[in-house]
Amino acid sequence: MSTRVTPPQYHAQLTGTAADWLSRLDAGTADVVAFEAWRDADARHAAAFAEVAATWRDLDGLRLMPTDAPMIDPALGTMPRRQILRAAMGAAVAAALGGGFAYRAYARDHAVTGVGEHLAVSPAPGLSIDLNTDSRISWRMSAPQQLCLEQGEIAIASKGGCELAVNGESFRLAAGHYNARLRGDSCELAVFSGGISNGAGLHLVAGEMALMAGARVTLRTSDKAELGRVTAWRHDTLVLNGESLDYALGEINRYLKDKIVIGDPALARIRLGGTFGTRNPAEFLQALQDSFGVRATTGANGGIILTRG
Amino acid sequence: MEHIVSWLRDIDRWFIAQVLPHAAAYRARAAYFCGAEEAEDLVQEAYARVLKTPDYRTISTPRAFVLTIVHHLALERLRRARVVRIEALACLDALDMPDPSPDAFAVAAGRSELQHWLVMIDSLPPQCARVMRMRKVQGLSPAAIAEELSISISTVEKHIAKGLALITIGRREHEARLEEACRPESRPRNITRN
Repeated sequence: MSTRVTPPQYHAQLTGTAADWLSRLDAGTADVVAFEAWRDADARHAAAFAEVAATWRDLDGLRLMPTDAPMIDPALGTMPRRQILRAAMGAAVAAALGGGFAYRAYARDHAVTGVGEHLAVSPAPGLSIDLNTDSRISWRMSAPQQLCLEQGEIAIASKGGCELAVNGESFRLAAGHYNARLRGDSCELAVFSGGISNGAGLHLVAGEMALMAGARVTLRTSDKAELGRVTAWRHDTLVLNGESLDYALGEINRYLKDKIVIGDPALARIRLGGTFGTRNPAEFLQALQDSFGVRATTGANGGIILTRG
Repeated sequence: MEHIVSWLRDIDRWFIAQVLPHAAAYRARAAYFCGAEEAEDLVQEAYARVLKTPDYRTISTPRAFVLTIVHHLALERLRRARVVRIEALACLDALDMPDPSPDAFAVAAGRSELQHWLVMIDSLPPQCARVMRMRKVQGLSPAAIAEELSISISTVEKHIAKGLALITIGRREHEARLEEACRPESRPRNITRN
C-alpha cells in the first residue's frame, strides 16, 4: 500500500488535465484513443475525470434554473427573447441533472440521440452537426463530408460544404448553416446561409425553406423570425405562433418519453403562442392551465392526459 | 461498427451517482484522521481504489464502503506518521465508527447550489466566465461560442477547461467549508510520537 502524500498542487494539476480532456471531448477535437489511454493509465486520472464530468453535468442545471440574476451578458448585447423566457421556466433541475449525458463524438460513423437528448458531433474539421431529439445520422469514415440523415432532425454548420442524403435523395450543401428535418416520408430543409442544390435543378438560397415529399417540392421564403423558430430546438425551446394544440403536442412530445395526449377532442382546436422549454413540460402545462383552464393528469403509464378543468 | 459513446464508462456513471455525492463526508472523515491538508489526497487515493474495484456493482452501500476505505488508508498513514492526533489514536481500531449524520455534509444539488455556481462562474476571469455562461447557461455549442466571440475553438476549449477546473476545485473547497461548519467537536490536538 502506498502512503505517498502528494502535494495539493498535484490534485489541482490533475483536475486541470481532466478538465482539459473534457473540454476537448466536448468540442469534438479530442483524440479519443489518447484520452482513453490517459484515463486507463492511472485510477487517479479516472477519478479526476469522473469528478470534472460530474461538475460538468451538474452545471447543466443552470440552463433550467429560474434566476433573479439577468442572464444577459452586456458584452454580447441583448439575449434572444426565447433565452429569457426559457430561463424563467419552472425549476426542473432534477430532470436536468438526471438527463442524458452525451458528449461529442469524433470520427465515428454514426451519431444517435434518444428521446429528449441533444448531441453535437463533428465528423470532420469544419463540419458541425447538432442532433435534435430521437435522431440519427451516419457517414462513411472515409468520407465524413457525405452525411445521411436517417431519422429526426439536425442542424448543420459547414465551412467547406458537404453532401446530405435524405430519403434516398442527395443534396449538395455549400458552406453555410442549415437545418434538415425528416417528417415521415417527407423532408424539410432550411437554409440560413449558403445554398442547397440537387441534380434535379433544385436551388435553395439563404432564407428559403423547402418541403420535399417524393418528387413534389414546396418552396417558401422565410423571414428571420420564422427561421429562428426552426432552430429554437438548439436552445431546447419550442416557439409557437398560433398553432393548434394538436400540432403543439406533436412537437413537444418529440422530446418526452411520457407523452402528452388530448383527453377531450374539443381541446385540439385551442391555438397557442409563446416560447416553451422542451426539457420539461411543466411550463407548457402550466400555460395551458392558466390560459385555457386545461387540466393535466398523469395516467398510470406515466403519460399526461389533458382535459377541461 | 463504432458507436457513439458517452465518454463515461459504466463504473464512472456509478461512481458519479453513488460515490461522489458523499464527497464531503469522506473529506470530513479523512480530515479527522490526517488533518485538512492531507484529506484531499487521502480521498483521491480512496477514489482510485474504488475505481479499481471490479465487482463494484455488488457494493450495497457505496458511502459506507468508501468511508471504510478512507478509514483503512488513514490507519495505514497514521501508523507511519510521526505526528498523530490523540482522537485518531483512540479511533484507530474502531472501524465501525458511527457515521452520525449521513446527510449533514451532503450538498443538495438544488437551487442554492446552482446559485452558488453562478456566483463561482462570475468570479472566473471575465472571458472565461463569459464562455462558461454561454456554454452551460445558454447552451451554445463551442463552435457557436467561437463564432460569436470571434475566437478560435481551441481558445474556447481553454476557457472551458480552465473554468471547469476552477469550479470543480472551488466546489471541493465549498464542501469542505460546509463540513467544517457542521463539525461539532473542537479540532483535535496533536501529539508527537517518539
